[in-house]
Amino acid sequence: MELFRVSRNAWGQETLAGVSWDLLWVFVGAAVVFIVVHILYKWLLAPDASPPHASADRTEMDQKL
Amino acid sequence: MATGEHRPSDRLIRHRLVDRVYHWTMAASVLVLLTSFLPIVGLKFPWIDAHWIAGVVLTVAVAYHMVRALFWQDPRSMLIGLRDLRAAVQATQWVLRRRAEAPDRPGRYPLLQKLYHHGVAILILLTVVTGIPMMAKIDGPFWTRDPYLLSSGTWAAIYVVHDLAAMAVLTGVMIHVYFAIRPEKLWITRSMIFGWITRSDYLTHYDPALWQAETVDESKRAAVAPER
Repeated sequence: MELFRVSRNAWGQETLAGVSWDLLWVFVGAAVVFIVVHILYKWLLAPDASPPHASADRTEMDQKL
Repeated sequence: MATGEHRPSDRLIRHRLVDRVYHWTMAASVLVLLTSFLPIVGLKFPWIDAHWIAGVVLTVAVAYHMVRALFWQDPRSMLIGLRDLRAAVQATQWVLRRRAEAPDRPGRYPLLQKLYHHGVAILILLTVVTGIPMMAKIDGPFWTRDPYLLSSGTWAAIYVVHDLAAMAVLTGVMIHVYFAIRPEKLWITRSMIFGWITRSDYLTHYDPALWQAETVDESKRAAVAPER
């Protein structure tokens, strides 16, 4: 896989023109891997996100209001 | 807040209208800019005009946001402090089942939102800073192209940084959209559309001692007060 795009100038010299478009798939793949890993984590490992503080705060806030 | 006259709204302000307009303007311009990757995958279309116009819109929007965030909002709320790091350690222990109690709730912005914001901010600023001189490579309504404005080495560096930052923005947008549509995060997405969260969301996800959210009613009464 190429890392850079190169072009030739008027004198035939190679000049750097940017990064290779092949790298686009590396970045897309990184996002897909992150998303899949997160889905698996939420599905298999994540603790139950119960709201332990909410009820106490709700009572306190109701009293203030 | 006195409530003798009427019961206060159950809706609390999370994002004001100007901030939502900024967010969606930035989102639309970034999506247009990212369509410039489509010709790479075979979908050819004349992308250059749409790209530079969306780039100008993004630049103006980011400049507006920076001024507003620094002078009209509370930039300290975006700083990462010891409290964030302590909560991160607690969260890690909680995930690993080494801690029974849920981690401390954050103020207005949780650590991961701060990290995402700062990361994307750096990437967007890199694309803006490198995209502005690139406009010298094309003819526009108020200027003529001058591809020799910079040396070939400088142009190469600009293109490399612009390309890498743009690709990384694509990664960030994919992850951002993924979280925006996750069922347990829809209340955050709703707040970016309508501006408010419910009191239940507020008490579940934030520490009221660290972020004193205004109700929609209070916000209407104090529309000109500085945001804190």
